[in-house]
Parts: sequence; C-alpha cells; structure tokens
Amino acid sequence: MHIPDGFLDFKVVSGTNLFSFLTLIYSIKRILKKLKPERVPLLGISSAFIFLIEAISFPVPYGTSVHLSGIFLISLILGPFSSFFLSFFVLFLSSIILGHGGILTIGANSFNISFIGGIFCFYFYKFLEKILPKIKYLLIFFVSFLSVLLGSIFCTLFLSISGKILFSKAILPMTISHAVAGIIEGIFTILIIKFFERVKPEILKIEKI
Amino acid sequence: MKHHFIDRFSYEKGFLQNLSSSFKFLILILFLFLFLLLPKKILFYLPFIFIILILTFISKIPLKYFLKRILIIFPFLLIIFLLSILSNKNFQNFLYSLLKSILSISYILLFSFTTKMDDFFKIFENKKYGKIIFLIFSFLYRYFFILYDEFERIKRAMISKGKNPNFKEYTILSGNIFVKSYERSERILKAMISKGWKIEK
Repeated sequence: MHIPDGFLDFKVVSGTNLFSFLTLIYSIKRILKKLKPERVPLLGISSAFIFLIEAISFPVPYGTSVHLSGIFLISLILGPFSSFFLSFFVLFLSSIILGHGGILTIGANSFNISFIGGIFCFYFYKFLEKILPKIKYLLIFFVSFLSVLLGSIFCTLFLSISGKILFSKAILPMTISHAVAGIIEGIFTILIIKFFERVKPEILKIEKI
Repeated sequence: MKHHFIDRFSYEKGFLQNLSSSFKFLILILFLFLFLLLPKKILFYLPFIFIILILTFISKIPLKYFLKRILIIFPFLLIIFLLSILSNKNFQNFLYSLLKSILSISYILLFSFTTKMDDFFKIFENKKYGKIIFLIFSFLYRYFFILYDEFERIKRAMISKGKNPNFKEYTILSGNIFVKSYERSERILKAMISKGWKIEK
C-alpha cells in the first residue's frame, strides 16, 4: 500500500527518507560504476514497464481486482540496486502525476516497496537458492509473496509509530489482505520467469547491478 | 487510444503556469513540510484551503476536474480509516490526518497540472547524478504511454479472437510487453547513437 502524505509523523518521515535517500545515492553510484552505457535505454524502458505493471489491475475472484508491483521480478532481471533505483522513481512519479502515495512519504513507501522487494528479497532469494537449488520456482514464489507481506508489515509499523493505528490490532487484517496480493504476485513472477526462459532466455542473463 | 495527458493544463496561460518548475517544486516541498507540522486546530488549515481555491481559479484549472482527481486518494484513506477504527484510535486525530492528506494531494496535483513534465525533469539535469535521473524520468514518462498502448492493442487482439484474458493470459501479456520493451530498447539505442548520443560514462 502506498502511504499518502499526512499520515506519517515527522520522525518517521525523516528517518525513512534518510534511509531511502542514502540507499538511492549508493544505488546510483553503483549503477554509474557498473552499468554499460548501451544498457541505459533498457533501464529506462524497464521503469516504464514497472509503471505499467502497477497501473494494470488484474481481475481476481469475487469481483475485485489487484495490481502487482513487479519489483522482485525486475531485481531478478536487472539486479537489486537497479530495481531499487527504478522503483524509487516510479513511486516518485506516480505520487507527482497520479497522486498515488506521497512526496514526503516517498522514504517510507520506497522502503516498503523498493528496498524490501528489490534489495532485501533479492539477496534473501540468492541465499535460499544456494541452500536449496532444486526448488528454484518454489523459492521465487515464496520470496515474491514475502516481498508483499513484509511491505505490508512495515507499512503497519510506520503508521503505528506515527500514532495512527495500533500495530497489534491492525497487523492481522493488513497481512491477510496483502497475503492474497502476495500469492498473486508469486504466481505472476514464476509465470513470467518461465515465459522468459522459453521465449527470450537472454533477458535473464543480463548483468545484474 | 486517446490519452488524457497529465500536464495538459500546463499549456494554459495561467498564474502557476508562468512560474518556473524548480520554484514551484521548492514551494510545494515547503508546503508539504508545513502541513506535516501543522497543529491540530482547524484555524491553521483554513488559509491553505483558501489559497488552493484561489490558485486553482487563477491557474484556469476546472474545479470539477480537480476535485474528481483528488478523489483518487479515498480508497487509501478508507483502508487507514478502517484500521484506525479497529485500533480504537482517536477519531479527531484521524480527521486532522485526513485533512493534511487531502491538502497535500491537492497541492501535489495542482503542481502536476500546471507544470510541463519535460521542464520538471530538467530540474535534475544539471545536478550531481542528475543526468541519469533525467534520462530515467524521460524514458519513464514517454514510454509508459507507448507500452500502455501496446498492452491495450494485444489485449484487444486477444478479445477479438474470442479469448477473454484471465490471470494467466495477463501474465503472458505482461511478459510479451517486457520482451517487446527489451527489443525496443535495442532499437532506441541505435536511434540515439545515430542522432549523435555518445556512449560515455
């Protein structure tokens, strides 16, 4: 969930923004150091792809719809820091032009969505992959699911530190509602990875930054 | 497909349209910080409501359209409202947060309505690390609409062939869009080089 402006207090806003901006600077430095200039258009167009994925609502049973984040998927294709970098600007632009999320809450939102989904989940997946290499797709599903669930847990935490909700009362409805989105995100990521393996395997061999 | 571009009012000749993007962005950030620190008294909020109404009028933004766009925030507010009720939190506390949130989104949308996005992206161009940020913003803003058109075209083709897309088809569709984006990025690179873009760090 994208937290709008007005719901987080000063300490949460400053803490999360500091963390996210430092991560952003580190990501940019790493990208500038390692990225081959001919990969710039791919990086740019991938940001438009993330924006598209977030803009599309997939119909799910009982007449509702859900949108995906695709951040973990992009981290599997382009790498964790590229994924954080692109996702940060997608969040920034969607708050400016669509009103999704906020500008001062960009730190919290990019922590929940970009850092957890892009950086943390990427390294966690790589760690699990080393231990359990035989169940690759199951791991992709699990980590995708986890990226959504952890994001919702931190979202609840930030709102409760700001005094808007009680963590103990809000955590259950928040995680249950996001678990559905997490399952869909997990299936989506597996299907897309399998699709790339079948149709265009070189996409998965791009240097990860 | 017809797109309602976000910055279409930025071409009107209004008050905010004549101000520079960087100045407006700076003022916007200052206002958002101010809302963050506003005390819980309605009197402090009234001047900002008055200012936004005046700015909307002198910048020639249709009020009905503006209010309709602000409604986008309500699904998020509803979730926080329900969680707040579950938490037995002070309702007055929630109302002030709601007010801050609506004020913030109003000023953000007013900024985006009255600013040409290309001008806005140029704010970053000459800053440290700005070149790569400018490039990403430019790609993001231009190619989103192209990818969306492509998505709609493939979806329409699927429906016209009698295949109403379900979740699996949507996934394949998204995968297709990424593959096409990958191939497009290679064509864009060739076009950029042929127009004089230098491959340099």
